Amino acid sequence: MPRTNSAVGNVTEVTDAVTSTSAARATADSPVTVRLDTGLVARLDTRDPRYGAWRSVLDDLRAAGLPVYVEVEPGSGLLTELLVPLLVTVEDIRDPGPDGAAVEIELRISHARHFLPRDDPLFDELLSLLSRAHTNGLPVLVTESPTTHEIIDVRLLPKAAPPAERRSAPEPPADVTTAAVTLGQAQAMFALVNGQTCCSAAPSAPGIPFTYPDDGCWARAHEMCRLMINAGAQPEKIWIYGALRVATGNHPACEVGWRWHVAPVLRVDDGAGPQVYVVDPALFPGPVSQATWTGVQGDPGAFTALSTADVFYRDASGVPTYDPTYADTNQTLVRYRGALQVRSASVDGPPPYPQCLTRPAGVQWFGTLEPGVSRRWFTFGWPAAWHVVWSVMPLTICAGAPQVSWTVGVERADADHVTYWITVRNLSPRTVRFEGRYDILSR
Amino acid sequence: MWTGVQFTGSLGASETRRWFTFNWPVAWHVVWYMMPTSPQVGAPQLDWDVAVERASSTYCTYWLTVRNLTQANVAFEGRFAVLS
Repeated sequence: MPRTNSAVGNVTEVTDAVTSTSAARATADSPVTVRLDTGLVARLDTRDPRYGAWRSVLDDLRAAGLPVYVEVEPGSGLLTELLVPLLVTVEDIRDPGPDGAAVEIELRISHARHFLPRDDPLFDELLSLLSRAHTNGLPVLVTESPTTHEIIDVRLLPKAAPPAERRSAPEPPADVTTAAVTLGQAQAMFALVNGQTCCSAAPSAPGIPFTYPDDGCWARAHEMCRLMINAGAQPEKIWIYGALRVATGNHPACEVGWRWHVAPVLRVDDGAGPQVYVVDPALFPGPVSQATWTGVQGDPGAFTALSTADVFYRDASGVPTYDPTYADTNQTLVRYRGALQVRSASVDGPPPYPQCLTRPAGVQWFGTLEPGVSRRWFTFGWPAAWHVVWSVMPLTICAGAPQVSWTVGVERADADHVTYWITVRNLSPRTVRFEGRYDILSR
Repeated sequence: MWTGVQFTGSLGASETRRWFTFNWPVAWHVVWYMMPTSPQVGAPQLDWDVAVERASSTYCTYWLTVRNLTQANVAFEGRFAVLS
């Protein structure tokens, strides 16, 4: 028995109740109607601050033929929760016993760590479903809490439902004769793929959700390789397996846990012989050496393997899966763009998360502005003799239009000190985080 | 600190127009200012404001809106200084 008033199904229709030319569109009287192939009909309140994000996710999932998890308020029929389920199989179930707070569930394909909390009222039922799927090799739709990856819903699917994986025998080691590039060329390849970063609060195709580090690295890596190959490069992939923990500013908990991870690599030769450099915008602002890449992942006992670029997924024993048409890649990217958008619309807001960030030199404060909002900050005790200029830099990635502007006011507080008043305006229809910067031109 | 001219532009009487310039490293602290190259004595000729877009983790785009405060054409330089 799943959670009361929850449903999982494919979106068949998302309909405005009135035409878009009607002035009454954004009122409680004109909710958007959502239909699932399960027969569920629900309403989406256009006044809900999550409306825009949820509407976009519903449209994207519908276009991609992917399912959605919803919770519906009894009586009103309003959507109260929307999440993006994973279509996976159960690889392993690790139960630490009754003293453990949660059972860890290993899902394929997913590099995130997933947990089934023992105190969940549905623990026994969900564990039973997962065990059945594990034993019989059945695909399941698994829905989890967006931040903690605690499983809240499991639906068994018929065995033939997911697309057949294109597996083959363990592949030989990657061809080490792949043409090397200069570090400058590797940096250009990094810029190429990093330039495809999707808007965190409104991700859309073909953007890559680098700011959702929780899961989906194999699809990000496959898409990055496609872009690099189209640009004339010969990337490979590096896979790492272990109890990985990575610090990140793009998760509200400031870190993510992985069982494995993958990213493209290029062989860089600046005269000292080819060295493997990893291109991983989810972790670094530029290409890094293999040692640097493995070093930040928190498990000295982790092991790595190289593969050719065409391997979509490689399990820990080395068995590869392929996605030559990029169909699985694109579906996976849709799923995790959706997860990013749902998170950005939640109380956590869009990444990055200020509690995870360290203030660099020349940054006075971190701020957050809701869509279209202006707000004023002040900072006092600045020597009046100093020549100081102020600027603002968005932290929330969203290419395509200006996000913030600012004005500066100043108050002479006493003979020796001034207070600066900085008004920052969010020009966009989405929440923007930013840093307030100063430069002292002379003292 | 270093300075430069990123673009030149001109505005008709009372005209306002926006320029953008992209692929600026986000780690750079950059300030923008305009300098008229059409002499005209007696009153301010231009004002401007700056907005920023974070295009990726490493690059940003600056959007510069320049306003001609006069009733004559004004040509100008779009100048920048990289402070750090």
